[in-house]
Formats: sequence, structure tokens, C-alpha cells
Amino acid sequence: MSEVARKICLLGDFGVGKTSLVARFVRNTFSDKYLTTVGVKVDSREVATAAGPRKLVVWDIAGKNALDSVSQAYIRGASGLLLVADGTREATLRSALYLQVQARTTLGEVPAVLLVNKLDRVDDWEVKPATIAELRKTLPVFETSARTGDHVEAAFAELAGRLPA
Amino acid sequence: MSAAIPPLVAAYLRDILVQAASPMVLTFGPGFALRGAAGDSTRIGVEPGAAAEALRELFTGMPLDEATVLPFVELPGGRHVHVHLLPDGALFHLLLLDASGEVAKARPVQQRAHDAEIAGHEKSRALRRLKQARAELEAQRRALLEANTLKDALIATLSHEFRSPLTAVFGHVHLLEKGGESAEGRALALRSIRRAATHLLALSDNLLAWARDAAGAGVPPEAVPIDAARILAEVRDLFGGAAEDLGITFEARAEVTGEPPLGDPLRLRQMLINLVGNALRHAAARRIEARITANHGAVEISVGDDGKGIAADAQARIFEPFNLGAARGVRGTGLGLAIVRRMAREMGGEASVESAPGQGATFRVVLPRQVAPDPAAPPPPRPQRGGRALLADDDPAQRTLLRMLLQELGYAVYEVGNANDAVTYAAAHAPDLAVIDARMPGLSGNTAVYRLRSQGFSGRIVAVAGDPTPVAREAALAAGADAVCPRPVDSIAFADAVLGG
Repeated sequence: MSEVARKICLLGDFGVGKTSLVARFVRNTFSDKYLTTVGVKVDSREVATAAGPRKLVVWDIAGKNALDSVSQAYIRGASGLLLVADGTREATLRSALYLQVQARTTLGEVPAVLLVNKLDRVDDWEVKPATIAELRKTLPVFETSARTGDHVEAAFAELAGRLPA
Repeated sequence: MSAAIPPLVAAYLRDILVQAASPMVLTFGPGFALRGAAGDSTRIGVEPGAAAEALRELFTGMPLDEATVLPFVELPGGRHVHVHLLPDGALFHLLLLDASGEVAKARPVQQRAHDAEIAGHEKSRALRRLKQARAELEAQRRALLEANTLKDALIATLSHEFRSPLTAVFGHVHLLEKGGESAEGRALALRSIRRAATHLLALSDNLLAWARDAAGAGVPPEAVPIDAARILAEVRDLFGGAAEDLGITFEARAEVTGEPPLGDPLRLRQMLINLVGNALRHAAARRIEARITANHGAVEISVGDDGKGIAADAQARIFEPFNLGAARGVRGTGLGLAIVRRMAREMGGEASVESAPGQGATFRVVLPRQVAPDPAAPPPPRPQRGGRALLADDDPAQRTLLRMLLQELGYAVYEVGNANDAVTYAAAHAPDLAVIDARMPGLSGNTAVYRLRSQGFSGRIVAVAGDPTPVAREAALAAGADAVCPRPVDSIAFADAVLGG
């Protein structure tokens, strides 16, 4: 039985770890070197969901704090969003939430999961636990570490489970 | 108005542009079936078949009947292309134009800008921490300087306070040894020796009391029947001669209503000695009255004088230790009134002063009724909160120690060896307390603390930290811990951290 393919997009400011999260999810690798993403890179991986196997086509879009027309073109057809913020830079959390609002103009309401990344550096985090506790009331939130892999799989699986059949 | 480009030139120009762009075109039919490929695949670096597969993924979920441009798409080989979708009836074409050159130019510029912004943020964070560390160091330096100043002042004061009476003692002893003094002269010498010895006794008692308390070795106050008249008689014996020599009328009175009050006789005596000694030395009074009033168990000690009085601003500081509230040149260790206040508070009471310049002063110690302990009763148990405690520590020996301490405090303990298990357990069972080792392999204890709080855990969290630095403590508190207990774990400090003491 062939799997159902769904496009999901990672949105977030630059340097929050989107490419690293995809590398961890798709290839289980991590590199300490930060290499900025130009344009978009597309990867895919099959995941098991309650509704059966599902192929996630993952769009790793260059980091921005707002969606321009090119980014709007990139996200067309996406079934879900992974909003990514960097816990050590609180401003990136605001960017991620703003990007979600902007994406609605192209996509309407689609499932979204917030990943607050760099959990391995929690001693440097600017984002307060109370902030995340508050955000959890409106959308699923995962504190992730692309470096250690913590909760990366769970975050992708959560979105996969919420995608339309 | 310019004329149209001649067809020959337009065709020539098109050939040049096509050659320069080295396009690759893939034509697809319904179901994304590859119908044909044209152009130069070597420039793109991907064979048509592999490119078609990548493009099928790329257009997942996207309409194929609308012209679309996707710039800067990274292909599996790492090369970037601009992808143009061109619908053509039942077919559609995907035109791939090499973008590697543009990416090669844009990427270093973008990389530098991002690196600079991230570095700037890290620098700001480092500067904030540096500033915080400097402030902490400065506060420690000031505290050390103050302690050193106090120590110097205390040594200087003690030197004077001990030497003056000792000089008097030696002088009078020398005179008595020489002999030839009249009976009146010998009596005067003995009174002087007694006065000096009394002063030295009070001085040493105060120093010992202060040192014992500073070392945490203070004895809890007693609650035994007090003979107020006897205490006052002892104080009169100590100070009567000195008062007489100074021409001061010294009166001591006890008024007891009801049963003899309960209290700590040694502390009461010490407080009275300090207050009377203070009045004798500093008040420049003609009359001093010491009084103990007991009314059905409640006790008030008062020492009043008709001396020069105390200015209002000095009254606020007069109970501070080491002469902090005294005017320059005033004699004494500066511990007497501080000890009075501390002892009063140890017995649940308070010390105060009423005075005005030129109108004398009255020091009062008000103590509530004390209750005698029941000798048959067991010792008071350590305060317990009890409930369910989660204990996370990767070291089994440390876990054992902490578990025993928690059980002593009345907790049922569930143990885990890592941060993730701690978060999972807390989410499922919502314990009343979480005790987390701040440094565990893998995700740190601080991470567990953070995640507990971000998941809405509202119980008390105690972080146990091996790193004693303020930065480590701040990190644990910022993550959401309520208290930080340093290693090696002291049972009292741990109980305080757990119980919020």
C-alpha cells in the first residue's frame, strides 16, 4: 500500500535550527556548523500515523521573520506547518507566531505545531517556561533539540497525526 | 517609438539566451507521468529521471494547472534551480534554470549578515552575564570590606574596653600590695576592682553570647519559673557600687502579679546587665531605675534614666551591633543592646526605647507569657509537608541519601535516573514535590525543571546543584526551580529547601 504524501513547511526566523531539525528527522544527523539556507530545500520521510503510513514532504524554507511573496509561493499546497523558534532568542518566538498568522492568508487554517529549539542550551533560554505553558493552550508546543534529537520525532509525529487524511 | 526587433535578430538573441541559461525542460502528462525531457541535464547535475522524482515531491499538494515560479530550489545533488511550471493543455512543462551562480553570490552575504546578528545577540548575553557577575563580585567585595571594617572596629574597641578596667585593677592591686592604705582607701580600691571586674564580666558574657549565636551554637531559651527579685538583687550587687561611685541613684524593683512567670533567668539577667550597664556608661544620669514587672506570666523589663536622652535618628540604629548606631567616641563593644534585642526576639518578644534629648530614656523588653514544656512529651517533630515526591538523580548513592531525607520529611518517594523520565512521570502523576539533580547526563536537570514548568507543573521544585556559583543557581531558578540546595547536601538546608523555610 503506497503512502499518502503531505507537504509540510518549516517556518521560522534564521538560525533557529530548521535545517538541523530536518536533518535530524530525515537523516538522523547533526552538524554544529551553521549554514544559512538560500531558497528552499525539500526532503521527505515516511512516518506511521494512526491513519496509516504517511509520507511527509518537508519544505525547509530560508529563515525570515515575515513571509514575502516568494515564501508565500513556497507554502502553497502545504497541509501543515512546523513553526520553529530558538529558545535562546525570545524574538524568534514572536517571529514564528507572526509567520503563522501570515501563512493563514495563503493556506487558511492548517494544523500547526510549535517547536522551541535548542533545548540542550536551556541555561541560555530567554523564553520563560510560563510563556510556553501559556502557548500550549492554543497549539501543540515541543521543546526540541536538533543536537540531541530530543522530542524532534515527537514534534513531527504530532503534526503528521493532525494532518487531514 | 522604437521599431520591432527584426526576426533574425530576435532568433539570434533567443539562441544566445537559451545557450546561456542552459535550461532543462521536463514535460509531464496526467498523474505526473514523465513524457519527455529536453535541454542540458549536465548543467543541472541531475538526470531527468531523478529530477522528475524530485519534482513530483516538490509539487506535492500544489496545483499543476497554474503557472508557478519557485525560485532557488535546492535539488538532491545540492544544486539550486529556479523551477517554472508552465501548463500546456493536458500536459505541463517544468522548466529548470540553473541558479547556482546566484546562490554562490548571495549565500556568503546572507551568511555574514546572519552570523553577525547571532554573534551580536550572544555578545549581548555575555555582556549581561558579565555585568551581573561583576555586580555580584562588587557586592561580595563590599560585604568583605564592611566585615573587615567591623572586625577592625571591634578589635580596637575591645582593646580599649579590656585595657581600661584591667589598668584600674592592676593599679588598685598595686596600691593594696604596697599597704599603708587607710581602711577607707582599701574599701575604695576594692570597689574599683569590683566595678572593673563587673564590666569585664559583662563584656565577656556579651562576646561569648554573640559568638555562640554567630556560630549557630546558641541554646534555645528555657521556660522555668523566674525569681524576679533575685535577678534584680544580683544586678544591684553588680552595679550598686559603680552607681554609688558615680553619684547615681540606682533603684531596682520587682512587681509580680499572679504566679511567678516562666522564662530564661540567664537571658533575663543578661538583658538587665546590658541595659543597666548601658545606662551607667552612656546616659549621664542622676537616677537609674531597673524594673521587672510580671503580670500573669507576661514579663516586662524596663530600665529608665533621667540622663541626656537619645536623638530620634539614633534610636532607630541603637540596637544595631558593633556601634553602628552610636556616635563616634562612645565607649562599649556595641553588642550590649544588639544582644538585648536578639534575646528578646528569641523569647518571642521585642525590645524598644522611648527617649527624647534631655529627657532621659526608658528601654523596655516586653516578653509574652512562656509555656513550660511537657517533660513527658516527645521532642517536637521536624515540620513535615508530606505527600508524593519525585526524585531525579542519575547517581544511585545520591538518590538513596535524598530519598531517606525526603522520607524523614514525610514524603512517599518515586525515583528516576534521568531528566526525560522525570518529566514523563510528573506529567502522568503530578507529584507534590520534585527534587531534581541540576546536572544529569543527556538533557540536564535544569531542562527537566524547565519542561515541568512549561507543562504547567505547579508543585514545588527543588534543584540540587553541585555547582555552587551564583550563575548556576540563577540558571536553576530561571528554569523554574523554587529553591536550590547545594551539594554536598546538608539535611537542614535540604529540609528548608523542600519545605520552603
